[in-house]
Formats: sequence, structure tokens, C-alpha cells
Amino acid sequence: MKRVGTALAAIAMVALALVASQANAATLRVGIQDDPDALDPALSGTYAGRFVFAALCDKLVDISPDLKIVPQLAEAWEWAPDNKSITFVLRKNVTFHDGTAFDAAAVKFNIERMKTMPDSKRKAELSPVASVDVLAADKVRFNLSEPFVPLLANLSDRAGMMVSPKAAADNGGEFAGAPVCAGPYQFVERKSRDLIRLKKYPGYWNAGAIGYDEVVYYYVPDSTVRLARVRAGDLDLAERVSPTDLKTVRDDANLALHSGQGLAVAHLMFNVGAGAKADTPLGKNQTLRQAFELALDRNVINRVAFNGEFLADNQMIPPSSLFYDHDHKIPPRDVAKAKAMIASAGMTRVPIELQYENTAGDSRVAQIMQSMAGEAGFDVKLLPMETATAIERYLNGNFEAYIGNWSGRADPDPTLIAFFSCAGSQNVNKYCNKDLDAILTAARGEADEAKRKALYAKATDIYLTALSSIPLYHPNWFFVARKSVGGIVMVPDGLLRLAGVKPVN
Amino acid sequence: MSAIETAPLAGGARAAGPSEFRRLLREPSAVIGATIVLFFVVLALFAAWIAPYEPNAPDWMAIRAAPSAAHWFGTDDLGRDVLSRVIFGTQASLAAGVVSVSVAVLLGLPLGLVAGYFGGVIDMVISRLADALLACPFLVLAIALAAFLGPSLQNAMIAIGVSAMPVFVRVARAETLVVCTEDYIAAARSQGLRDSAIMTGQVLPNVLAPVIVQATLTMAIAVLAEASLAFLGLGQLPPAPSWGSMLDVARQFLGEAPWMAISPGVAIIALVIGFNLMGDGVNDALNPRR
Amino acid sequence: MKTMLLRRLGVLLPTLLLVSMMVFGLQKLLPGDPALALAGEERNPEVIAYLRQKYRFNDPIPVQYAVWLKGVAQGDFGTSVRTRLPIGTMLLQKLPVTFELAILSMLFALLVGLPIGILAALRRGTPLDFGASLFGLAGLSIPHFWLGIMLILLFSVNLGWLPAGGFVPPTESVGRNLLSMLMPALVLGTGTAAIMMRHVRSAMILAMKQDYVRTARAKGMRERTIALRHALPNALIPVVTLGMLQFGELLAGAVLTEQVFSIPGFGKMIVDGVFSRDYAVVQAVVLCTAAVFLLMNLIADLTYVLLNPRLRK
Repeated sequence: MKRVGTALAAIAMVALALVASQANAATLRVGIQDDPDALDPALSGTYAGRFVFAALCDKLVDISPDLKIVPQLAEAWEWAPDNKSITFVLRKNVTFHDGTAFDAAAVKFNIERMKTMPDSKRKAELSPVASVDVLAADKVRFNLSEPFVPLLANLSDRAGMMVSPKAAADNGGEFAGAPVCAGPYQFVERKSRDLIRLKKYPGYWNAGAIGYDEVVYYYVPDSTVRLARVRAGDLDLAERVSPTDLKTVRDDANLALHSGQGLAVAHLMFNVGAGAKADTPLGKNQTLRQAFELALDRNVINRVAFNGEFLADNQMIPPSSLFYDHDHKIPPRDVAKAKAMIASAGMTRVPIELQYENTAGDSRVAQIMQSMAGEAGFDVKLLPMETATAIERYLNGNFEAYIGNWSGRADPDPTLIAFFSCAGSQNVNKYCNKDLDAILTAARGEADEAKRKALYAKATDIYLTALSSIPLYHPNWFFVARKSVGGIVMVPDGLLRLAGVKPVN
Repeated sequence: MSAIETAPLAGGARAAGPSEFRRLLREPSAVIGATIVLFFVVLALFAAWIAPYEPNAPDWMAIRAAPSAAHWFGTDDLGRDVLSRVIFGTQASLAAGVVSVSVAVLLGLPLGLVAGYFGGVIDMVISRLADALLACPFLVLAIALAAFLGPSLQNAMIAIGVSAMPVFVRVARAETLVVCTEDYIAAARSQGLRDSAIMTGQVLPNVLAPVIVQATLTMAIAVLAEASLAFLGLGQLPPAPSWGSMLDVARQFLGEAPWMAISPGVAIIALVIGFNLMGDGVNDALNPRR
Repeated sequence: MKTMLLRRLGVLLPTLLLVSMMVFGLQKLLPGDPALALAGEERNPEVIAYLRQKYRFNDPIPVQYAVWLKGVAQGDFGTSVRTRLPIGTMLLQKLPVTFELAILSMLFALLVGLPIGILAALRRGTPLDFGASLFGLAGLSIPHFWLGIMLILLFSVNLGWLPAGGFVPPTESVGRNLLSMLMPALVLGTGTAAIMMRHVRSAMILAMKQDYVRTARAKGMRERTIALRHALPNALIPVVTLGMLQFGELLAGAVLTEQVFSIPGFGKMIVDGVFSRDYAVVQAVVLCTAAVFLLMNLIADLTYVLLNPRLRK
């Protein structure tokens, strides 16, 4: 009798253990819109890549939901009085997924890798970093060629992601096939254009905050299908819900909608100085561009194309930014004034070719703009094209007007410098204003927030008058998740951070 | 969709003449098919008069409105009348059907003729090239070509035409081989007529029948292919109305506005059925089975 | 038989080479600079120059082709320029998915098309025959992607019975795999079902007219036995051949179905490859598709000869 009892107890315990382990083997299935490119922080250029990196690769610092810089792999930092160097105190007992230690030498290795790798995409973000000094195992100093306030914001993104020096050296160009970082999850497998599987890294410095044992990112490009799969329970979470599907989410009792303001901006860029295509009335005449702005009603664009769920705006940086200028409000639509301005330029109908990527959102926006601007006297010819061609022509300045989508950064500098400084990397329409250049350069070195804000106010004044780009709206982020997923926090960059995300009942 | 479904080949077909045309008129499928196609041709030609609204005129207040008296087929995501867009979309689909096939015939027929007539090395070269093209599945080839050329209706038509060409090379070649064994060819040759004269004067008219059948069948495939390319974003891009791209947009609003997806699809089916029926009818008329 | 086989195999390789040359040449017609497209949001002339040099975009086309061909001969299809993942692995991951879809579609086509075709042949001229003809016509005329959209509308959006897309590998769950493949296979198989139906119907009609059938009837055999035991096997011979040819078509037609149902297969790979200017991916996919196609043609012809005793000599 006793032996049977023991046997039964043993079986019960095994069964319980099995059940318990099953319950703990929780997998978070996430639906993403795009397939990431190379999973190497030095090479990656896609937003989807950043999404996966949020779980795979920790960075020196991170940004909080209110856009403040917070510690991640670096615990604390201090700027030198002349703002030309910054010293980081690194977190202790941090290891990479392959077990090697994270230390100052690793930081130095990573920065140099990103600066010297031939096809690294991080060179511009780290250009002011002249050298990196290892002061101690947990202390590292960045020496800058000039004061560069946005450095921390850049280090909160791919430029600050730390990969294992050993893995990078061993694998060389194949690193992207099996990335080794220091994030909460480590790489398991990747099926191109299908899924990316990560599993919990037991040695993570914040392992206690990690609730799921496994995260799988499924590539589902169609937002309707993505949502359908979350509703059906095939996925636990999906990013970028289409604004027109939000009602469905809100009506479903099993789903929770997580929304947040984003850093991204969509804008209408005019070719004002790049080659032959700059020779258009709108390209040459700032008054006509202002007239175009007055012909638009950004709220209608938002309402019709995005069910009113995005944020219509007239500035390149979002209102959530400290440096947003609340004194420059969106001008209301004024067709009569637009017509008058066109007449004052000596014209009645103004032709323009509008190029854009043939995506659902841009397509709708373009058609709405064509219709509205048409009422004021602008003959907009629509030139949709597939994404790769559109981007390539955009980068070559081969357009008259183009709808650009910029994913935005935590600091205004990367955005404004890229688009409006004479040598900016995104300044493909060749807008150049020396005064604006001077202001932006000064702002980038200005550590005092109030003074910096004043500088950016002046900059906004200039670019909103020149209107080489007309900002249109900021997309908001919408995640849909099953109610069983808890702890989701929305951050303006739209990336899902896994710390604190746990299954709930 | 099989591009390989060639018409029954060589031997049975005769030259297309007045008696064949009369037989055609008696074939019910040919008549029904032609009527359907004619209906769409009328729609395409007189679209501006028939359509109740401008196809590209947005109405911000009536976005994704359900079918009603004002909009029989409802409106789309920019408030445009779906019925009008379907009517205007006929132009693109018919153009695709006719032009693509014309391209295919204009390229394939001469090549097949030449290959069958001269034989030897010329035949081998042309046949190998046609085989190589045929080795790539039709849609894959069309997609690759359309993507290389850039998305537009013209490029889609060229892409489809080139992809459909090898079938016509085969058909023309096979029929030419049969015709060349006929006495009147030998007679023409002994008369000293130049090759080009023989090919255009004697061979060509007798080779036309199966080519016509194949052309009609291929038109159905071409219409489907154009819709497919537009659906993938490789054909006529919005805002121009095209049934395929209308379906691509409709996909995003299946829950809210299902009518956006239904009518363009029905239109495609109707036109393709028309061409298929016509093709079957023409086939039966020119290749009578006892 | 053997000579035919050898001859056909001998033609296979040059044809494939020709295909690869055509695709390679066409790609270079593509407007635009792939290096620029790859350089990303933050354009850097150094990076662009490096990419051009690394992927040999500057070399003359015949040189690029030779390099690529050499790699393929050794089994190396190159690396995806976008993701830096080996293309060979991508192919191996995606081929089985499309294959499964094609096989399931073919099964559907046979299960639906054959019986209807046979019945229509036997009940010629009746409303059943007419209905079958309509079905045949519809199957050929309905666009795959529209049918897919309609089925999603009905079974996923409105009824919620079936998943609206996506692929669950059989290793994870056979049940959910089949469930997710149900609509795609139906959609892809409809066109083939129509074609099979038409052909088996004609073949049956033809077979029922043969002398041996008349003899069997004269002997007093039941119509049903004649149809199933004598006519049908002969009618099926061309159908088998057709089936093999159609299988190749299915692999290609899968492109649209995979797009509509978000299935990570072969067909989607080529669309994605073209859109992201990933030359090597497009080349690899077209080459493989052509190879499979040619192989299926070869097998079809062989089967036809094997099954047809009269042709064996």
C-alpha cells in the first residue's frame, strides 16, 4: 500500500512539474510588418531590424517614454566641462550571449567596428567620436572632435548596441547570420521572410524582469492579416495596426490596444536645388510652396487617410519633443489666399510631379493632396512607384516633389541636420541656408536646454518659411495585444521593449 | 493558369475562310463569348458617357460608403464611385488583353514561321530560345519582366506579351511544318518564287487558324495576368482605375467595405469568361470534331 | 526509351543555362543602382563605393555572370544582399512550403476535377454535363487572388472558422498546418481542377468511342463496368501526363496565392527579391523554378511513354 502511495505521489509530482514547466515555457509570438535586413547593428538600416534588436541587443543607454536618456549597459555618465568628452561607468557582471564579458574594451571594439567597417551605416551617427579610451574595466571615455549633445540619443539606438567582440571577430561577415549581443534574448534561428526565433538568455543582467521564455517575430506584411491572426490567437501581439482597423480592436474583448505618439514624420519634399528637376515653379519659388501649404488641410488628410488616428502637424519633430516650437501653429486651410499667392507669382495653374512609394498610406495621402491642391490651382501629376525605385530616385534627387517618411530620432539634431543642413545626409533636395546651418551647428553643441530650445525656435522659423519640405503628420504607434500579455509600455520610437512584459491571466 | 494549353495542333486546322466564319456564328459559345466581350468593349469605348461619376473624383464625406442609390457599387477608401472605376477599368483590361496578345503574335508568329520554314540551324536556335522562355513559368516570367521594366500599364503589356510569345512560336512552327509538306508549297518553290513571297503569300494564310484560336485563349490569360500584375503592384498603379489594383486596395478593408472587393472581381471573371467562350467557340468552329 | 531519356537530359542543361543567361541579362536592365538602394536611409558615398566593389556591380556583365555561375555549380547560390543570409538556405526553407501547397492543391484538383469530369463524360448532354462545363469555365476564369480574398472574407472575417493567412509548419502542428493550407490549396487548385476536369472528360469521351468498348458492350458488359474498368484507365494516361505538367504550373501560380495568404514560400521570394533589388535571389528562384519545370516536363513525357504500351518501342 505504502509503495503504491509513494508511486502515486511521485507520478503526481512529475506531472505537476511537467505542467509547471509547460506553464513556464511561455512564448511571445509577435507579428511584424517588415522583414528585417541584416541583423548586425553596424549594417542594419531597417526599422524592422531595430524592432528585433530591442530584444536581442542591449545598448549603452536607452530612452524612456518621455524621451529622457536612461541607463542600460552604462549605469552613469558624465560630460567633461568642455563637452568634448564623456565618461561612462558601465554596468558590472554583464555578459554577452556567448558568455564573454562586457567591459570597456568591448565598448571600444564596438565603436571602432562601427566606424571602420567598410559598409557600416553608423558612420554619420558616430562621426564626432574621435577616439575611445579604456580607463578601467568598467569605465570608458569617448573623445569628441567637437561638442556633440545628440551623442547620447544616438547611443540609445543602433550606434550604441554592443555585440560580442569574440563573435564579431570569429564570424566576420557572417555575423548577421548568428548575432551575439547582450540583450535579454539570444538568437536561435531565422527563416528569411518568415520568422526570427529568440530564447531567453539566462545570464541577462535584468533577467528577473523578463517574463517570456521565447520570443518569435513573425513576418506578416499585411496589417489586416496580422490583426486577424492576433484575434484568432495565432499571434500574441502585432505592431502597426492600420488606423482603419482600430475600431475592430477596440470592440474585441480579448484584445488590448496600446497606442503612443511617435517620433516619425511624413513630409512633402520639394526639389529646390538638385539637378534639372529643381527647375520647377515650386522648386524655385518659396511663395508658391507656402501657397501649396495653404491649399492643404492636414486634418482632412489625417481623417480620410488614417481615420484621424495620426497627428497632423507642420513640424519635422513631434510635439512630444522638448524642442518642439509651440509658437508655430498649423496654418488653417486658405484656398483664396493660396490662389492670390499664385497670382502674385504671375501664374494661374502651377504644374508639379509628385513621386511617392506605392504603399497604402502614401497612395491615399498623395491623392488627397492632388485633389486639394488642385482646387487652389496646382496641377499635381501623380507618379507612384515601387519602393526600391522610389527610394533610389529620391536619393539621387531625381524628383520634383516626393512624399518622404522619416522614422525620427529621440533628439531633434539628427532630423534637422539631416534634412536642412547644407551637407545633411537626407538633404537630397539640396536646400542650403548658411544661417540655418550655423544655428543647427550651434544647437548641437549647446548643452543648456533653454538656450538650445531658443536656437531650435529660430531654426523652425527659417525652415517653415522656406518650406523645402512641408511636414504633414506624425504617425502614432498602435500595438494590438491579447489581454494575456501584460506590461507593455509604449515608447515614442515604437519599439517593443521586453523588460517587464509578462504573461498575465 | 496554363499558358501551355495550346490549341489542338497541326493537321486538323484549315484555313479560315467564309464557310468557317459561318460555322463560327452557329457555335453558341462563340456567340455568347463574343457578346460578352463586345459588351465590355462598348463599356470601354463609351466609359465617359456611361459612368455616373468621374473615376478619380474623391468625396471626403462618403468614404467607404455601402452600395446605395447614389453609388450602386458603393465607394472606395477615398470616396470614389466604385461602379465608375470598374467601368473605366475596362479600358486597362481590354487594352492588356488585346495589346499583349498582339505583341505575342507579332513576335511569335514570324519566328515560328521562319523556324518551321527554313529548319536546320535557324530552327534549332529559335526553338531553343522558345524552350528556354517556356521553361520559366509564365507568371514568374511576367513578374520578373514587369518588375524590371517598371510598373506601368504599357510595361505590363510588354511583359505579358513577351512571356506569352513562345507559345505562338510553337504553334506557328508546328503548323508551318505541316503546311510545308503540302503540294502547293513545292509548286510555288519550283515556280521560282522567293522564300519571303512564299512565306507571306502561301504559308501564312494557312497557318493563321490555330494562331487565331490560341490568340483568343491567350487574351483571357492576358487579362488575368494584367490583373495579377496590378494586384502585385507591377501594373497600372493607382489612382488610375485598374481592376487588379482596386482589388489590392480592397484587401485592406475586407471587414469594413467588402463591396470594394466584389465588383472588380466579378468584372474580371465576366470578361475572362467571355474570352474563354470565344476561344472555345473559335476552336470548335475551326477544328470540327466528328 | 533510354536514348530518349538521355537526349532529353542532354537538352535540359543547355536550356537551364540559357534561362539563367536571360534572367541575368534582364536584371541588368533594371533601372537604378542596387548599391544605392542598399545603402539605406543615411547615404554615404564610401559605403556605396564599397558595396559596388564587394558585389562586383562595376564588373562587366559577362564577368559577373561567370562568377555567379561558378558559385552555382558548387552549390553556392550567393548571399542575399539585404539580409546577408545564404540564399541556398532560404531556398531550402521555402521550397518545402510551396511544394506542400502545390501537392495539396493537386490533391484537391484530382479529388474534385476527376470525378466531375468522368461523370460529365458518362452523362454527356445532360444538365450535369452542362453544370460541369460551367464549373470548368469558372475555374479557368476566376482569378486566384480574388477567390482567395473572397474566401478570406467569408471564412475568416465573417465566420471566423479559418485563419486569414500565415503558415504553421507541420513540425509544429499538423492540424493547424492543414487548417492554414486549406483555403490556399482550394484557391490554387481550382484552376487546375477545371483543367483536369475538361481533359478527363474529353479523354473519357474519346475512350468510350473506341472499338474495344463497343466490343465489350456487344458482349453484354454493364455500362458502369465498361466505363470504370476499360475506358477509365486509358483515359487517365493523358491525364497523368497533364497532372505532372500542371504541377509545374502550380509551383509558379503559387506566387499570387502566397501573396494573398502570406505564406512564406518560393513564389513570394521572387516578388520580394525583385522589389528589394536582390539580384541573386531572383536569379536563384527563376533558375530553380525553371529546373523543376523542365524536370516535371521530362517526367511527364517519360510517364506517358511508360504508361502507353504502344509507344514503348
